[in-house]
Amino acid sequence: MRGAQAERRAMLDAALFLFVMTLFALGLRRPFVWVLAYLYIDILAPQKIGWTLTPMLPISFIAFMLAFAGWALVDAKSQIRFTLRQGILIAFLGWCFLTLQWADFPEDAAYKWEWVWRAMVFAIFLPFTLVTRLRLELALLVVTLTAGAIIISSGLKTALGGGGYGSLYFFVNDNSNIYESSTLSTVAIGLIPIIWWFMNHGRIFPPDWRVKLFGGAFIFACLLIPVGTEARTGLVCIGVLALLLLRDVKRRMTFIVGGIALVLMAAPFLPTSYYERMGLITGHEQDQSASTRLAVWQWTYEYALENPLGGGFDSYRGNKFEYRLPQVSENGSTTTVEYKDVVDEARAFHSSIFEVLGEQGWIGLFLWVWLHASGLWQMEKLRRRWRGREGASWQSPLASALQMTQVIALVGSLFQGIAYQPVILLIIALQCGLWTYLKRCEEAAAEPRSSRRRAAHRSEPQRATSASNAARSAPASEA
Amino acid sequence: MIDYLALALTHALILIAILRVFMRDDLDREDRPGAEPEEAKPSRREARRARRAGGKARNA
Repeated sequence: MRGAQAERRAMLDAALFLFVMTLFALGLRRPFVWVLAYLYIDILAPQKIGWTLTPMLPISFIAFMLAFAGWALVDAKSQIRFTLRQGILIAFLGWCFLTLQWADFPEDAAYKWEWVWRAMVFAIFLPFTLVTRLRLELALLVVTLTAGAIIISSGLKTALGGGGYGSLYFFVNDNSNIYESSTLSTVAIGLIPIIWWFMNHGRIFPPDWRVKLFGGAFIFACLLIPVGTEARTGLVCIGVLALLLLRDVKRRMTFIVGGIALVLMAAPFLPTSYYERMGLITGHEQDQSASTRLAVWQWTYEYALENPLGGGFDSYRGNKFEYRLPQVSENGSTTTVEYKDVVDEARAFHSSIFEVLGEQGWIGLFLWVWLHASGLWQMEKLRRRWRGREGASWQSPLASALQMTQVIALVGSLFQGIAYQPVILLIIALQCGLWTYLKRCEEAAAEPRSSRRRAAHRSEPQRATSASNAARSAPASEA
Repeated sequence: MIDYLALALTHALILIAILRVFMRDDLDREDRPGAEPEEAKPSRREARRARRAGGKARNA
């Protein structure tokens, strides 16, 4: 039995290795595939799933270098634009490097910097490669489907009765990247608007019954992730998504009634443990996780007042606090509440805002907030500008979907330290890509008009001269 | 087993997606950004269906 399992794992390892090598080989003909390969490796981490072949080569690093090399050597540079948000990201990256110099915990900070800089550099670079609609869509599709591998497998396990907080098994169980319950919940809910966009406007897989069927099942799997992981953040994200969707749906009342009916129908199927955990959203007094959060946030605020330039990555390791936690015990018909002193130290930030504030200080927080606020504003601008334009059906919905994804990521960020999460940075990069691409589209559309105007302008003096000539010649002819 | 199924499905879709656009010129460059591509030729299955529908209409 164990032998058969090992054989299956070896097959999986070989298949993943072969897949990565196929992507690398396809990139020789079309170097953009190397960019896709990096996106895939960054999200799924196949080198952690396999344990012999895939970890043998530093595939993530190879894909990173190939993506840059392919772009530098082959891509036409005339199409690229540099955006303000990429500039903010560069400033944020530079600032993170500076805070590294005075970090409270240099070793831990250096360890975190190792993956943060790579995620940020790739997010700065990615928009340069997204020069056509097909590339934009393909990158978005690869991000969605790669995250989908984790989501579909976890969703199926949940549907078949697995799951529970911290007990739902993923391909990789080291809480890295999106293999962490709350992060996966946030990303899964955030991807729903993008899947919906593919179901209606995709060009690589034109929307037909197969796309709609797969997309519907995919969205259902996404909704099951907060149930399977029992992550409270996921439930909050679903609520926010429902509110956001109200803005775009045509029949609002039907949507609200349908949503309520769906919740009522799903309620009996949810496990009891889920209700118990969700009940802690409101009654946080008895919950150590929530009490710790409040204490950490208080500590971080005071720390930032003392260290306005931040304490470098992982500065939370310096925190230590005591607080009283009520312990309820039931003995027969009597319920006793005892207050117990709890000492906590080196507790993580549990919020991206406080993560950035504690690590990068007020300057870092300003840059981070600017980066996100400008994204929300840009997507809103695109959403309104392209809505209802003739022959432009996909642009406004895509801007809307990317904006919703970002809002959900930000809601998730309130309760988790995911400020430098690579997937969220990729969403920012895709937003920058869409912004520049649509700008180029508008310029290209305006070009013939302006050249016509220029031509008209040029011919006007000629007309004027010929008219005056005619006027001059007229008396002569009359004479 | 579920893991293998999810991995196989998504990996197959990624590969199909890449191969579908692999040879298209507008992957790397658009002569006029934003211009809608020409109507793609109907697939063989769609053409067959259209023929059948036409045949039925004629028979009727």
